[in-house]
Amino acid sequence: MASLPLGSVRLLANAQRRRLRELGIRIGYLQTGPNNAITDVPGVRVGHVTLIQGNGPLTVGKGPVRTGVTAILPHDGDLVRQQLYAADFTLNGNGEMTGLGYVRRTGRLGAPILFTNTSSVGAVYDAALGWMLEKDPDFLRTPCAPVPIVGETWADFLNDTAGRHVQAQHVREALESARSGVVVEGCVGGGTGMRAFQFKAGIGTASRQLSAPNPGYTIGVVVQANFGRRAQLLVDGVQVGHEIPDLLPEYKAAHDGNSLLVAIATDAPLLPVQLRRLCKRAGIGVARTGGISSHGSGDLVLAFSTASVDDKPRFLNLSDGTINPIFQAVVEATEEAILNSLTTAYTMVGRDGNTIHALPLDRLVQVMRAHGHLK
Amino acid sequence: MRLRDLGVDIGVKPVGMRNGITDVKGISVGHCAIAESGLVSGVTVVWPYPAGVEKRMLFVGKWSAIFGDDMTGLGVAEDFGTFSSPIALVPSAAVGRAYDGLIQHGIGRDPGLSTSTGWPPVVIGVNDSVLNPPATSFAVFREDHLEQAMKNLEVDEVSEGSVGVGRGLCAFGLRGGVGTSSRVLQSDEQEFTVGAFTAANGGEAGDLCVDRYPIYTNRRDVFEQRPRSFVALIATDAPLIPLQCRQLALRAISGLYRVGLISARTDEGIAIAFSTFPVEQDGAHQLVGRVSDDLLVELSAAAEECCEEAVLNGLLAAKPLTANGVRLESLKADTWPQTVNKFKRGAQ
Repeated sequence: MASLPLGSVRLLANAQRRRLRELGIRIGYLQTGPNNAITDVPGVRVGHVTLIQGNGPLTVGKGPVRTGVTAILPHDGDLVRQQLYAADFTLNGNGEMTGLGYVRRTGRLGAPILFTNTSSVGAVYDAALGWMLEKDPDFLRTPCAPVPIVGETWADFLNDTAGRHVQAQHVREALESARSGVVVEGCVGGGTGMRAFQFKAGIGTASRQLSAPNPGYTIGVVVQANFGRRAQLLVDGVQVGHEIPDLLPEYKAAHDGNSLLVAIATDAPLLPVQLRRLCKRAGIGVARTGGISSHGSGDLVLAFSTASVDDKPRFLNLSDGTINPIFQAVVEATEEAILNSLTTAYTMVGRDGNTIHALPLDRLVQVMRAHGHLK
Repeated sequence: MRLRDLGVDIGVKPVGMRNGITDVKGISVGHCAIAESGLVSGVTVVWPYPAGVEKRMLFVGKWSAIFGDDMTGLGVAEDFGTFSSPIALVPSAAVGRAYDGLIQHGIGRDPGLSTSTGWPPVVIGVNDSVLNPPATSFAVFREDHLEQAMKNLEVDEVSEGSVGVGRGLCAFGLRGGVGTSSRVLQSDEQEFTVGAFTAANGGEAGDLCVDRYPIYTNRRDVFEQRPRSFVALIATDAPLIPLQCRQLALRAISGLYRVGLISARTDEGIAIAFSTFPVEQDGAHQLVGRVSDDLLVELSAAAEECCEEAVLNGLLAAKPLTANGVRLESLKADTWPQTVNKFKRGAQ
């Protein structure tokens, strides 16, 4: 199955969606980067392949298909030979992110990051490894070699999970099409079939740029959001979930999977031990959206620094004493990225006619205005 | 008598001048005995940098072999990967008061108690309750025991065996003790030193190995100690980032497995590795250093050798004792040094 070009229905659906800031809602007080996206960190690229095919009853292997893969490339160069400092944090463990053993062992990232749905982790890993081996057939011979970072969340309420529709060519296409600049959000890539706070969600991104005392550093976040109950939803501290209790998902599936993947990029020179502290702050961004990191959730966070790590025996890194603005940026950008995934995702009908509604933007604006959060 | 005096070498790397943790420049060790009320106990302080230096933040990494260890300062050590405090090894019952003492000491250096002037205190509780009733230790321990240890600093050769916190230890059914060892590495015309300081406590009699040779297989009938807990401190002047310190601590643990100190019945045990290489603050940034992955492997192998040898040095220096109704012999250098060397030659 080839990935489909954007159909006219999807174009129309996308056209009606907005990013949070386009609605006039601002999270936090720091400045965003030019695209308010993880790609504002120089060198970071994102690519999606979105698989949407078929309607009606589930036929395993045929569909309906509502999934895809999102590739995050940490820089333009040779990932294996120019590795970056990295760290991870498990906010709640009921999920999968492959390759973390290497990250923890070495404090480095040397592979692409890919987000997909639960049943496609193996296929995506396999294809990404193939892509890496094509570039460097010998890289696995090194004593401790990086392997692909593949994270997942559960899309079964819309998608033919057992059909395992993500194939090697899709992974390759996502990797090869990854680019800087504007990142498409919502029902795209790995986020295609996802929902959060019982609204349609998926991929979201945001960024922050720092002024003194850390001039010029950028922090970018991309999420694949698939968690939360309606009553929990907060937008900029406003209990939006209470105000919009209707438009609940229409599906029969009993399984109520939850998960969140977060990738944090920065060009600030940080050590692995510091990047792990950034990862923890993503959990605070989650909390500000109302999420509690529930028991069934796989809430996995990865952070990396694009500041060069080229085996210099001496190098400058950011002092702990000036790290707070970066913490602030991670919290704000994580919160905003999750909310962007909600405001950009459109209503989707999936397998067996299961429907997940989009967060209605007009009502969101009304609620925010009523609470004095919009002029 | 130290292990090398018996003609037994551990590993292949050259040892430092003193074959001790003080071969790492700036490190000193102080002991104080606690002998009141029948106690056979004590305190040992390892200073990671000269006591006269007011501010210095070092990178550190910790590894728990078993967990359950009683260590303060853990939040900063694990989250930030830094510490700046003297490391006090004390009887478990004395952790609070030793902490208090180090706080007082820290306030004396900097009323603001910053992470570069001694806060938070790093105190490690070593369970010496086989020889010392904990309630007595609790009643007797005073801050001046700690202060005395901080005054008795040895910058040259470090006393081993039944000194300081080593007085109350037993290991392998024998009297345990504190011990030390070091290794020197050459890399690109630079010289790096790795030193270990161990408090050997625990280990079962039949498990004791010297250079992988089990020397006490016929001693399973001897006194079996519980609880079994140990501490290994590894210091190096090589520049390491915190993650590398943690790697070093992890790898050093395998030296403790080799000597037989760790088994399924070990209750607690930690290794802590730190780099004395100074982190220089430069405005919003800091200048840090890091060795290559290959050199880290060599440093790890050195740490492994040091830990193994330090444990054996501690046992050899310990003195036999009867206390608290327990008779503990010390490790005697009878026929095993010859056997070990014969075994080693055979293996080659």
